[in-house]
Formats: sequence, structure tokens, C-alpha cells
Amino acid sequence: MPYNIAMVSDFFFPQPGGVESHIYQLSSKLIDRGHKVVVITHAYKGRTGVRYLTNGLKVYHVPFLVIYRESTMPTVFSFFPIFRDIVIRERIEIVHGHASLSSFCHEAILHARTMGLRTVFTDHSLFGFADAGSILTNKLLKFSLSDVDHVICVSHTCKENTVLRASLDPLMVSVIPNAVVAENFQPESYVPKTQDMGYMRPKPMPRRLGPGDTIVIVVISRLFYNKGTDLLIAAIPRILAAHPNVRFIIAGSGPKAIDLEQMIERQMLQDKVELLGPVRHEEVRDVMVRGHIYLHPSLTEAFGTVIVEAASCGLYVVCTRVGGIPEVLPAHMTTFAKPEEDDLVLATGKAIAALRSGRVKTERFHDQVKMMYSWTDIAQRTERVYDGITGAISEQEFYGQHPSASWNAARSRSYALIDRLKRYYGCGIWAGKLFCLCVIIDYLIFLFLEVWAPRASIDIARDWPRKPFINDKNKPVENGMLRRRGTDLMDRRNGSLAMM
Amino acid sequence: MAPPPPSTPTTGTSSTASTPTQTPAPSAIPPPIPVETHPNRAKPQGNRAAAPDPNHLAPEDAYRSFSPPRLRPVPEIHGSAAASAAAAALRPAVASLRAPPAIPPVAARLAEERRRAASRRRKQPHVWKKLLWIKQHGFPDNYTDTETFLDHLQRNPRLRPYEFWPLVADSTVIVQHVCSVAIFVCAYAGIYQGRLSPVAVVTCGSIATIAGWIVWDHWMGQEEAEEMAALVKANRVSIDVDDGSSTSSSTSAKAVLNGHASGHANGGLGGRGVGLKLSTTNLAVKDNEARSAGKHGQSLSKSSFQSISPIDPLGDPTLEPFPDLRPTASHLQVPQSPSIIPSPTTLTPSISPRNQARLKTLKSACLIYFALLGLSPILKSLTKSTSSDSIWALATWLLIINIFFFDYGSLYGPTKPLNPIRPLEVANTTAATTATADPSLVHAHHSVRAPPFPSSLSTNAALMASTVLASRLLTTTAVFSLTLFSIQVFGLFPVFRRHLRHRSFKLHLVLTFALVTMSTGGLGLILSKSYTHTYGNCGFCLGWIWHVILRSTVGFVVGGFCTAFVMGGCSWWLIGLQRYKNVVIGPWDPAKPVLAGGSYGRSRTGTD
Repeated sequence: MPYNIAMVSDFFFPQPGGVESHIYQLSSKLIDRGHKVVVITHAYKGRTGVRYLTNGLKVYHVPFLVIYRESTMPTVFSFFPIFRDIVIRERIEIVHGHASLSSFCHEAILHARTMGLRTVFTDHSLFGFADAGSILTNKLLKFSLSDVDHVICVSHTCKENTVLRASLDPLMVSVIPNAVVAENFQPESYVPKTQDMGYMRPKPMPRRLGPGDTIVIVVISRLFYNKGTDLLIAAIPRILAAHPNVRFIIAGSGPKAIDLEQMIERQMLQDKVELLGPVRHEEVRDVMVRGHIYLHPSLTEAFGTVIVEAASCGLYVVCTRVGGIPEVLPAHMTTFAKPEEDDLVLATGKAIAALRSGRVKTERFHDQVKMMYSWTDIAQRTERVYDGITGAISEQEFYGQHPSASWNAARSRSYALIDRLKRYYGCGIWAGKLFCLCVIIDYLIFLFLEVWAPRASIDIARDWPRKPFINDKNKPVENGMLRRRGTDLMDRRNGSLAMM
Repeated sequence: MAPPPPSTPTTGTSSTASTPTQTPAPSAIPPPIPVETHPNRAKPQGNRAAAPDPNHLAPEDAYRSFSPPRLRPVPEIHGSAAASAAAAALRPAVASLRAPPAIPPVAARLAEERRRAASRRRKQPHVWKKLLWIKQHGFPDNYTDTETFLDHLQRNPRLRPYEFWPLVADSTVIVQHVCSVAIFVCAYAGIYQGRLSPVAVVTCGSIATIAGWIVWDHWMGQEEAEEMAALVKANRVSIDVDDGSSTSSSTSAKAVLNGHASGHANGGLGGRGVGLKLSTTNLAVKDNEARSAGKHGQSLSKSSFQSISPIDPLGDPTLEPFPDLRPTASHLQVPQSPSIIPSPTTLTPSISPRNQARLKTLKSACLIYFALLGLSPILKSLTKSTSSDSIWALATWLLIINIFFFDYGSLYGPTKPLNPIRPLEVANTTAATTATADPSLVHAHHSVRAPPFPSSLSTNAALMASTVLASRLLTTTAVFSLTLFSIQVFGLFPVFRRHLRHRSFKLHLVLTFALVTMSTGGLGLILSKSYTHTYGNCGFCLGWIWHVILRSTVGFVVGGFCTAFVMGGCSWWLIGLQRYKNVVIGPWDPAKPVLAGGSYGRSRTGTD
């Protein structure tokens, strides 16, 4: 059955970024599958109120105090009244929060559980356990995830991290990666498969590089410490010294940009390293297709969408073996390096040699990546999570067979306040009691709101015309037209960010 | 569920502190064994379905209270032989977790399910892989692989268990500092109550300081000689290697070498002169510290005293953004801070650089002395309008700040940090002289780490405390004496202590004992209520002497026991707290970039 889903996050358009486009693409594909999706985020400058995006995606920009880097002020309860209004207006059944640094999302999960809704949380980032900031974030995450129905992580490393941080049952955590809109990241000479040509289309021509040809290495990243800009700064002169016919194109800005510029001026590499500054997301492809190798020296990365985008553009990827990156691309598309200067130089040298020898068939990358990652697939897998938590597919099928009978009761999370309190109480000696207090207050606020603003007095919003619901067998339920999922038609229609 | 592994208590109980005692879900959760989703491994083991095998790993162990037995050996500290034996015993059990080579006959549970599993097995003989780009056919997204889940988790990887006596020995550094603060407070209280002559205090302090300086000077001379000897020897060896049997060239090389060596010695002496000044009573110490940043790991309030010394701050080598931009022709002098290089105008041939440095020290000492003398009347009336209570509170807080932010950890490194940041350059130069200095330089770089808090905060707090305290005193002499004494105690004495610890641990212990004795005795005296026998009033009568001996002995006995108790108790406590140490690291942690001693990254890896 189709669901009414609310995506809640602090991070959404007009701000560019990975989480933002993830929410947008996922929502768009879920709408294609016949669900109704609204996005709830805080008001951005120039964006308040309700907006409709392409495909009938409704966005609520809730006015809220923003404190730091577009994160809202973590007030535990103040979001509840307006959230309840939206949920009732839109007849929401599932609340799906995104990004662990978004306090909006955590609040929404808490209130949704109080209101008796199913909740899903998607974690996009990795956190350590050592420093004070991480400890605080982890405690808050534990608070909000104590009662969540399901968690989605973007990579297996991210799943391990989240399970540890929030003390979750691993079976309650699904791994659903990010995807790319392959049509937006096509190689320069790529001939898209059209309906007319079918299998007759010409095969992509391999780009052979002679020993004298220039190899362009592209780096697109924010120039921060944790993106490995120090490694990059140290490695560039050595790579350029070892390989004369190599050029760099570096796009992005950040606090390390000044170091990079200093290095370039000191080494007098202006003719070999081109700094583009910040580029918009839709220009990324145009930058990428100018190069042959994508270098990604990041120090931590949950998924690394950008390397998938680079591979989709037909670039050979050199990246550090950190976080979830080793899971993302097959070995023939990447060369891994340790996060060390020497190893990075070595790996880049290997990649250059591999390209020159023609061993790497970069012209095939695009089609391969297209098969690996598509938002349609992601939406389908997310839908299975929704099915699992709402009971549309049986618990046994969703969580697997359990050996002992007592085990079964634990999975589906009851809304009874006492059960919720039990879950929160286990969060820690002091934290558990504090969390219980918060939950009780939240429940009291809920009761108060039910009296003060009764459900009957809240208007129900009219839905955008729904698309036919596609169930798991890929057959439309309502009209008889058979549609295959993941066709190019669908991808092209919704793939581009028309609203940007 | 895994049994409590019979390993050390460190691993056994460590996680109970930080992980919750129970999961948010109902308390007794059996391990989730994904039988249905796991056609290859879990399903066939019918006996497992009945009761979870305690030897087997469940994903839940990731956050449960035990260190999970891993397929790959987790680098844990197994303190005892018993623990390693237990780990060895565990290995077959762990091995049984691995995928069985073939699928044993399935004990029937549900016919429908078996059919489905069988069909899946036929269709997709895939195994689950920890990858995102493949379609994990037959495995749901929430499938948790028992073998690979959390297999890169490391617990307490760099745990170094403390031992009692080394810990106590290390705590002497803190005791020394606390005791010197206590001595200062006692001296102040004595002066304030009129029981102690300020001149006596400052005289004792100055005598001790000058004695310390002489000792320091002696050490410096020794170290220099050693260094020179090593240098000359290394040069000789390298020159022999280089030149083979050519005597003429070797002699010329030796001549050059001598020039170089003397140049190096000059530089070194200049550096020493910097050190000398530290031990004499002058405030230029701050500036010297600033100049040879990292020299003592402690830059004493460089900004506040910068103006006193005429040395330009540009000489600070750490300010140089790109060290190897320097012309390598002058590589011999490069390792030294440029300002230390003796300039031809000051280097008169008649005075050896050593004496020159001493002269400089003397000069700045006099400067400080007279400046302080001139400032004393102003200091005296500085806080006249403030009530004494505020002053006591302020001074207490400032001294607490001094104690808490004092740089206890930084290592001694008087000669090496002349150039802490230039190992690459040194390596680049092929000259034998610098090449010999290379290892020590590199070593120095690694041993000298930036303290988390600038110790200038500590020193400034102490000096401010002494200033506000001094402003309560009545006479100019007392103000002058107290301020001078505070400079000696807070500015110079720590430097001496650090060097002493480096030179001889025995002397360090003796000094600790002496400081404890003095401070506890002084506290005993100060805290005694008897005002009858202040100094000199009865002309050093027997009663006075008896009073002093009695009170200080009582203070020493009580204070000494307290100190020993605290040192031992805190050490035990810290060792006990080690059990709760639970550092979890894994692939999600941001990697530490390793730069190959590069010229670009090295100086700014820690800047972010």
C-alpha cells in the first residue's frame, strides 16, 4: 500500500549538499512509486512557507532558529505543535529523518513516536568516539534512536558505526547506499542509449593515451582538513615532479585553500595546477569530464558519492582507504592508497601507468556505474524498510528467522508509553532518567495539544495527484499499464534537478 | 552469547562502564541469528537454533559487555599468560564460526521456508560481501554478517598499562610545582604577617637562583663539549669516507670543518646564552623563550615581555612558512635560529661567545632588577581601592590556574629545538656536519610536542597573582622582594627543575624531597597561631628556635604523610581507573594523514 511519508531534516535545498540531494532524489523516486512524500525543513533565507518542487514534492520550510551551519537550535519540544499540525494535515504515516547532526530530525522522530507514527532514520555520517563533541552527539543520537523503528545507513562501515554509537540491534539497521543520477554524470563522448537506436548504438570508443599525452587529475572537494587537503598539498608537487605530463584541476573552497595556493606559488606550479574555486553541483560533471583521474584524498567518508560520480563520468579513481570508501566501487575502477603521502603518490603513479597502458577501460565505467547505483533501486529498497516497519511484510521476513520465541516480541516497537520509557531508561544511569523525563513531558504536551488544537479542527491538505502505486512485483496496482522500474524514461524525467 | 572471555579484567569489564547496562529493547535479548537470511551458514546448524551457542559470536556482542572473540586477532593487551592461553583455547571456537564448506542437511522447521531457501540457494549461490556496488542477491539490506560485522573494531589498541612506581615517580613533577607554589604562598604570608623579612626571602631566593645558574652554566658547558666532540668525530669520519686518502684535501676540509664547527659552537653558545639568561633573574627570559620557541616547550608570556629585549621576533624559526626556501648555501647556520647567529658587530674576538652570553645575561638581569625597583612603588598602591578579600580570592584563583595549566609534560630539550622543524632540509643537505645533527633533530621534533594549553597562561597567572598579592604589602622593599621572588619561583625555577630532571633523576628526587620539606615546614609555621616569637623580637631566643623546630617538624610530618598518601593514592586510583578505559577505534575514525616529513605539510598538520 502506498504510504504518506514525511522526510525531516535540517538540510534541504536551496542549500546544496549530499544529504539534500539524497532527500530530494529519494523523495522523487518514492513519489514515482506512488507514495506521497512531503519534506519538512527549516526556513532558509528567501524560502519560507510551503513550496512545491518538481514531481509534486511538497516542502515545508518551518521558521526556526538556526544556530550553526544550518543546524537548528536543539530545543526538545518547541517543534512539536507545528510538526503535529503538518503531520495531521498531510496524514503522515511514516516519518523519515535524515542526518545525525540535524536536531530537527531527532525532534521529529521523538514527536512522531509520541503521536504513534512509524519512524525511520538515515545516517549519512561517521563519528568517532573520542572527542567531547562526538560523545555528546552520540548520547543525543542514542536518545533519538532508542525508540526509532528502523535505521538506514549509507554504507556498512556507517552501519557498524551507528550500531556502536546508538547501541542498536544490528538487524534494525539497513544498509542502503546513496546513488547518482547517472544521466547527469555522463562522459564527454558518451552516446546515450535512445529508444530508436536500441542495441544498434555505437560502442563507446576507448580513449587511448599515449606516453606523451597529458593526463589531467581532477580533485573536487571542500578544502577542509578532514577531506585530506594536507595530503593533497603534500602529494601534488611530488606527483608533478615524477610525471611531467600531468595536470591538476582542483575545484572547491575551504580553509585549506590558502595553503594550497601557497604551495602552488612556492613551487611555481601555476601552469600545471588549475584552481577553479567553488563549483556548483551541476557544474561538477563539466569539470570532471576534463580529466582522466579523480583523486580523492579524504580522511573520513561515510559513502563518498563524489567518487561514484567521478567513475560515472569515466574517470579512474584514486582514493584513500578510509571509512566506507572501499565498499563503494569495484577494484577495476579504483586504486586505493593509505592515507599517507608516500602511498598516495605511489597509487597515483600506478593509476597513471595503468591509464597510459590502456589497461583501464574507463569508457565502460558509465554503464557499469549506472547498473550499480540508481535512485530507483534505492527507493525500492527504502520502500521495503517502510513495508517492514509498518507490518506490510511479516516480521519474520523482514528481520529473519529467530531461534527463540521470546525474541519475536522485541522487534516491532509498540507505542505504549511504558514500553517506550523502558527503552529510554536503558540509555544510561543519568541519561536514561533524563530521557524518560523528556518523553513524559513530550507525551503531556501531546495530550495538551490534542485538547487545545483538536484533530478535527485541522484541515486535511489536498494531495498532489498520485502516480499509480507500483508494488514489489513492478506491476501497477491501479491501472493495467505495465511499467518497468528503472527505465531510462523515468530516470530522465526526474533525474535532473529542475528546481535548482 | 559469548561467554565472558577469561582475559584480563581490563577487557572484561571495560565496556560495562561506557556501554549501557542494557539495551533499550527488553532486557534479555538473545542474539539475532539471521537464519532465514543466511542460507549458507546459520541455517544448517539445527542445534544452534535451539539455544544460541555461547561460543559463537552474535552481532549483538558488538555493543554487549564483552570483548567479542574475533576471527582476526584483535590487538588487545593480554596482560597475563593465562589470558593468552585462554585466547588460544578460544580460537577453535571462533574458527567454527566460519562458513561450513558444504551445506549440511537441514533440520526441518518450516516446510515452506525450506523450500524457499532451497530455491534461493539454487538460484543464487552468492555469498554476502561487504560491498555496496554489487547486488546482494538473497540478502536483505538489514542482513548482518556475523563474520565481517565489526571485524575492524579495535578496543584499547594503544593501551599502555600504568605501573605504580613509575607513576609515582612521574607525579613528582606535579608535587614539585605545587610545593614551589606553597613555598611562595608561605613566603608571602610570612612577609604579610611581618614574621619574615622580605629582604631575607629575596636574598635566599637570589642565592639559590645564582647557584642554580652556576650549575646550569656548568651543564651547558658539558653538553656543549659533548656535542662538539661528537660533531668533530662525525666530521672526521665522514671526511675520511669522502676524501679517501687525499691528505691535502682532507686537511683543507678539516680547516673548513673547524670553521664550521666553531660557527656551530658559536651558534650553540648563543643558544646557551639564551639559556643562561633563563637562570638569572631577568625577565628577558620570556623573550628568549619566545625566540627559541619550543626550546623549553614553554613560551613564558612572550607577548608581555617582548618589548624588553631588543631581539627581533622575526628570528622565530617556527614563523617561517617555508623553511627550505632559505638558501642552502648557509646550511650550516640554518639549523640555528637566525637571531642567535653571532653577528660580526657583537662578536669581538676578545670575548668568547660564552662569556658574551654571560655578559648579556648579566645585562638583562640588571635591567630587570632596576626596572622592578622602579616599578615597586607603583605596584605598592596598585590595588589600594580593592578590598583584601577580593585580592585573596583573585590570587587563589590565579594560583589554581597556574597549577592546573602548568606545562608538566613537556620534555627537556635545550639544544635540539634550536631547529625543531627542519628535518627535511637537514636531510637534503649533504654536508657531513648537518647530517650528523640530523637524527637528534628529528628526535627532538618528535619528542617536543605542543602542550595543550600554552604555559604562558600558567606563568602569567602566577605573575599576576604575585603582583596583586604584592600590592597588599606595606613597604616598597617588600613589594620589590616579593615580585622578584615570584619571578624566580615561577619564571626561572621551572626551567631549572626541568633540566635537573633531565640530567639526573636522583637529584630530581632529592629536590622533590627538599621542596616537600620546605613547603610543609613552611606551611606548619605559617599556620601556627603563635605570634609571640616573630623573628628577631626576642633576639633568636631558645623559645623561638624551639617554636620553629616544633612547628615545622609537625608540619613536615603531617604534610609529608599527606603528600605521600596523595601521591600513592592518586597513582593507585589512576591504575584502578584503567579498567574503565574503553577506547573504540575502527574504520569510521578520521585517518591521521601521514606526511613524509614533507616541507609543506609538516608545519601545519596540527593547525586544524
